Amino acid sequence: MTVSQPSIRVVDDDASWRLSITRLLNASGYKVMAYESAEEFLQTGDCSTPGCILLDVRMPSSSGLQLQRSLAAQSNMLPIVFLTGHGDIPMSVTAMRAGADDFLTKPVSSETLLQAVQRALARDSERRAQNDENLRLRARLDGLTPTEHKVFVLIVRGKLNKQIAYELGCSERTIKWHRHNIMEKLRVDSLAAMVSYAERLGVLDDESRQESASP
Amino acid sequence: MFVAASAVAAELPPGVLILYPDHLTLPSNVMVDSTLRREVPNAYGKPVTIYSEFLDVEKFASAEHENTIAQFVRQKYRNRNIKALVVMAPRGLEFALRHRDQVLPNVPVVYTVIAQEALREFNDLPADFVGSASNTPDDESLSVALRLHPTARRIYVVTGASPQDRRWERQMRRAVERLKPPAEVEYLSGLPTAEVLQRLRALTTESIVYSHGYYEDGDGTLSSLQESTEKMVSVSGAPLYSRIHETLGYGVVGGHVTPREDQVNRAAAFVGRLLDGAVPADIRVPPLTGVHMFDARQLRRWGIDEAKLPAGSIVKFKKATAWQLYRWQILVTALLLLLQALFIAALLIERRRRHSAEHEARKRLGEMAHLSRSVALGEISAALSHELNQPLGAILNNAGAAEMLIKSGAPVSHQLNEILSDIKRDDQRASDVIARLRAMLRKSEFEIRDVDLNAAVEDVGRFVASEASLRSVALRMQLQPDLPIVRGDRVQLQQVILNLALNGMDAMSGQPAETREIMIRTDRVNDAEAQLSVVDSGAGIPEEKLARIFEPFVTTKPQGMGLGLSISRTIIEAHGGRIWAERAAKRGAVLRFTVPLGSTASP
Repeated sequence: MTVSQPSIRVVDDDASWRLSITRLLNASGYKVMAYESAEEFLQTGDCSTPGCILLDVRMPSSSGLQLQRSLAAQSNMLPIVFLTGHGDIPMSVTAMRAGADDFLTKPVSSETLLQAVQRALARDSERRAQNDENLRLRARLDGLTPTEHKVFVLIVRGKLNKQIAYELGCSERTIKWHRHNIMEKLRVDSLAAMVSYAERLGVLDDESRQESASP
Repeated sequence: MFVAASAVAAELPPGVLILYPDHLTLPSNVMVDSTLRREVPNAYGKPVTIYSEFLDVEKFASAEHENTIAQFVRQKYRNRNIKALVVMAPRGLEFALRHRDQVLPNVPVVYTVIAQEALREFNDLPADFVGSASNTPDDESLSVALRLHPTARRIYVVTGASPQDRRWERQMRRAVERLKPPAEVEYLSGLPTAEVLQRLRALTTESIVYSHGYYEDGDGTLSSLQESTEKMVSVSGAPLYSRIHETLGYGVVGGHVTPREDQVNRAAAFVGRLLDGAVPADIRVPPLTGVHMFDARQLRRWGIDEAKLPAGSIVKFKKATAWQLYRWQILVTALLLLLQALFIAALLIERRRRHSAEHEARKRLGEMAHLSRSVALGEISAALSHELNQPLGAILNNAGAAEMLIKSGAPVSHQLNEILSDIKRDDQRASDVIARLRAMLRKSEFEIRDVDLNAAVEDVGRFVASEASLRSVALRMQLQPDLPIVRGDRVQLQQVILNLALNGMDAMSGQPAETREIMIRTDRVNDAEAQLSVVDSGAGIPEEKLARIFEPFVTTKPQGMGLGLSISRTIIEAHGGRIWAERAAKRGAVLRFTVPLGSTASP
């Protein structure tokens, strides 16, 4: 994956505020992209590059909370730092529940703001790193043959080779061979590592969902 | 024939004949005549006929004239059932004594208007002559005159030539003899008028004139007492006194007199008793006493202080004061003035009360409006804090950025300039918000001035817009260009707009954000009024509540007090405008109010 400099997306309807926050973040060495409204951000913004969102909760036409929901629906991963002109408790609770990374009240001191931005960026890069790892693991998982995938699922569910062989209608030895290939492809060296691999990618959840959906 | 005549006489009501020695036209006789004509029937209690004859025997003092008159009277009243004869003055009494037995035999005589002094000269009056004299000797009048004029050294006693004049002269001489006055007394008796006047003209206030007037002067010229008195007074350099009532008012200063009315009333009473059948001899009464009577005009003329007059004096001919003349008119006028004054006072008090009540009401309205404004602003406090925090936040960001730029050591002066000017602008923005807020929260009395309604709407519209965006309500404003100036209290009008807008936003709180719309518009409806409307897209107001929503404590909101719209109505009505609610064309409600245009707005 391409690693680029993080950019901070500022979404606020107040031009003066946008300009001032841009100045502050620029002076702190951040790249800033400013958007006048939630709509503008949804239409032209790019969530794939690293960074975070500074979002005014209260904006005309579409509130920050709505933007948060829209972004979540687009499986956006950018951390959101909420800014509000007034600390409204029900609103902040809603925002935090929906995954807000921080909730600041305007006017906010430069230190607080920059710390919050730093934390958000750190979370973003961490999340991105994790995401990259997951993608790598997923790619390896995708490298398995359909049979190997079935065997993998049964292994991480704790089935013995004998049981698997019986279930798939082949010899225990064939299973052992598959098992060896799977560990090779996934670059794991133990059963425990295989289970953690599966958990991390949510294989078991996927399978159970498929199972419950199939009959 | 005789029998018939007697029968006629008997059938007539009793008659009373009054004989005057002089003639009808004298004012004193007119008074006497009318008094007797009134009082005799009163005293008798039954119908009675009064006859008057004027003998004129003072001027025509001859036996021949008297006989002619006597015959005439006899002829005239023979069959008139005369039951009493009233005679005036000594001269009348004289006539009765001489002719009664021929003229009206056996008819009792009542004499009146005669002084005790004069009566004494008639010795042995017949028993059926009754009457009462007045006890007013010349002594008393003379001594009063001397007391009032202590410096007088001479007394001139003026009398005429007729029998009555001579009688008076005799009386006066007797009085002087009794009195022995400190002044020298000179008698001007029976002189020609010209000479009398010449003598009197030479007098000064060191003298006193004493005269009852005269019927006939030394030349034989006849006159009435009043005429001769007036002549004397008109030339005399000294004050004139007399004891007779007749001449008072003709220039006489005054004297000790018996009022003519008293004498006549007594005579009337006697006549009544005689007609009732009383025996004349039984009618005996003491003489009438006199009173001191003066003419105010003469007192003034001779400079006599009223305080020096004898106690109990009657002063006649006082120039009636306005009070005496117009007492009732004055009383009524004064009463009316008093009532008017009271009315005016009441009105003034009422006006003052109303003034202070109005002032109080304005103050109350101001206070109430202020409270309601505070509540309304409290409701939009979130919006307000956002309005303030935006510029404050920007200032803080800019300051932080500047700090970092300076720390970085790079050449940044151009950027710093920009930052500082932005800080200033944001600061101004914040203070504008505070100024608007202060204006809205200012506690002021209701005061009507010229207001630019559109500007007022735009001003309060910033708060409304802020609140609207917070509530996800789309706000539109449609302000009529060139809207004339209106008359009103700007802050209170803004408050009404805020109330209406908040009311509209509240009405839409339960519906999806994208359907929440509010519009504020201004229109000129006619030459006299401007109108402001707030249209919302809420559920609208039920028909039955349209008329009632401006009443206090009527609310459609669970947490509302129901005071905002009621206060709005109070404010608009205080402006002379109207406020009402309608159902909007599509959905929602329209709340409108009108305010009068300013006078300059009229074309």
